[in-house]
Amino acid sequence: MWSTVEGRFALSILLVWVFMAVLSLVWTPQPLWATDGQQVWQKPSHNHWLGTDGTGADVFSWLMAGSATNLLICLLTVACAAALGILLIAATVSRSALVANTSIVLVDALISIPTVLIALILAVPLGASVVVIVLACGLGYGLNLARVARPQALLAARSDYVIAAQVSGASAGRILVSHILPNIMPVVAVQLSLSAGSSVLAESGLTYLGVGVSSGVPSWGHSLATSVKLINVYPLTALWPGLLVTLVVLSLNLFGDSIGDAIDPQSNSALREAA
Amino acid sequence: MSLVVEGLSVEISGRQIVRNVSFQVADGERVGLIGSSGSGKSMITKAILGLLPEQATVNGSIRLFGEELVGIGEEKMADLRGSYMGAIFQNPSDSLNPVLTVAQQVSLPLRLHYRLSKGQRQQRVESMLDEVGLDGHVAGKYPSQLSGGQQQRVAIATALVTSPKVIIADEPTTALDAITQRSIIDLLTCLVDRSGASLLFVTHDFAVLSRVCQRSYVIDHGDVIEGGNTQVLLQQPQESVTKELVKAARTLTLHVSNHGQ
Repeated sequence: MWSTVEGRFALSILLVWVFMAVLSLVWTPQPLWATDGQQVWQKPSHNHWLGTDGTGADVFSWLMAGSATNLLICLLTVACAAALGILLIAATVSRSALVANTSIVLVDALISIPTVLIALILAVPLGASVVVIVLACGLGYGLNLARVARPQALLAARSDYVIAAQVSGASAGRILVSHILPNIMPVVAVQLSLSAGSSVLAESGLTYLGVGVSSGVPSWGHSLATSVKLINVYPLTALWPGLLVTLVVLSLNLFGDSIGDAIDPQSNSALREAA
Repeated sequence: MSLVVEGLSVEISGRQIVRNVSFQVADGERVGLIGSSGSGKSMITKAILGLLPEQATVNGSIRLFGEELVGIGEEKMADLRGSYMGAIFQNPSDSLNPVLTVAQQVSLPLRLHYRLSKGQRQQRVESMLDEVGLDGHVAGKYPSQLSGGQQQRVAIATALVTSPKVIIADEPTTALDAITQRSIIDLLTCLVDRSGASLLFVTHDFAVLSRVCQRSYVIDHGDVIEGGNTQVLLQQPQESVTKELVKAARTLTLHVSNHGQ
């Protein structure tokens, strides 16, 4: 993965993201709630590296603290999507025709419901929170994963090597874990990395709509939502979170491509040579 | 008797694929099933291995060392597969998992049926690879890095690593070139004889069958139409389908001989 320029770029950005998120838990350049009415819309300076927003709060500190929230949302969403997606894939490749057909119909029906609509429905009982984003995105991306990986999973399930594993005495569970999932892992990895990137975008969008991260919790979506209204007055505060979201989403997508290539022995010559 | 099949019928979605098939494989015997494509011979092996699709209806009896396999639960069948029965398939490049190394594939039946330490497993895998004529360094390779012949040797090693009592080979040489075919056949018969296992060999080629099996059954439209000593079948075929199969094998051999001259 480190051998390609894209892989190096993506990994570097993601490592910086994780580092900033962890660091923000113990330190930020300026206290988050240190606002100063005399210091609003400040340009980048020694004290405020990316300037200040309309309340005089330090933009860099808020983005840094927001990176932790976004990382948490991203990881939880990917975990939910992976769990749901793999569960549905397991049902799709089940030897029981009833279970397989039911899962296919279920996925095809539910996938038509937009993630935003799911979030709006969930926000009614739960209110605006991280949980709404994670559940809505986890459900949407999990269904998407099951749909995208379905053809490859079915091909793998009907392959001779799965029959050979059955002949060796492998159980259905073992066949799924040791034979089907490793063979669809490049598709799953790429799809989950796309989901990770989409969750960052979704957080921004849903927070802007008022059903995402609750007010007062730092997040990139929150920074965008508060600054975008005044983009005509001071465009820089909207630029920074926008740039950050773009950079991270791009890196997650490139990371997915690189990891997909890296774990596939058929496409990775280095892996074959190492063997 | 290692394997006794009596009155076996298989129906899938209202279509009769196998009709009232009966045959036996004695301990240490090499028996062949021959028939043209679509005759139902592979369906018979699938029925024996319990690999028929869910919608298939099976009637009759399949007994492995006296134990009835028809209607046996999946869990019990999984215990028998790999330990008492091994199978080799037609296309080695498809029957080996592309993301597992040779060592991982060969050791799978050992992991599933025996409580061995990692070292013991590794030792058994290396010894099995040696028996099928592969170097130890092949153990860490992926199937895509091996030739067709090497892949089939790995498949044979996987099928034989637990020393099963019955081996089912479903057209194991069809996807290979003539030279590799011959070496794989010789290797398979040698290993089967050495282990004392019984072999059920499925093919559509009489030339291959005559080299492997003492006794054979001819299958046509899911039915056994003729059976007996392979050499007798080859020299005095009674049924028209058998005559066609023998003629096809002879014509191809003759063609090769003439071409050689």
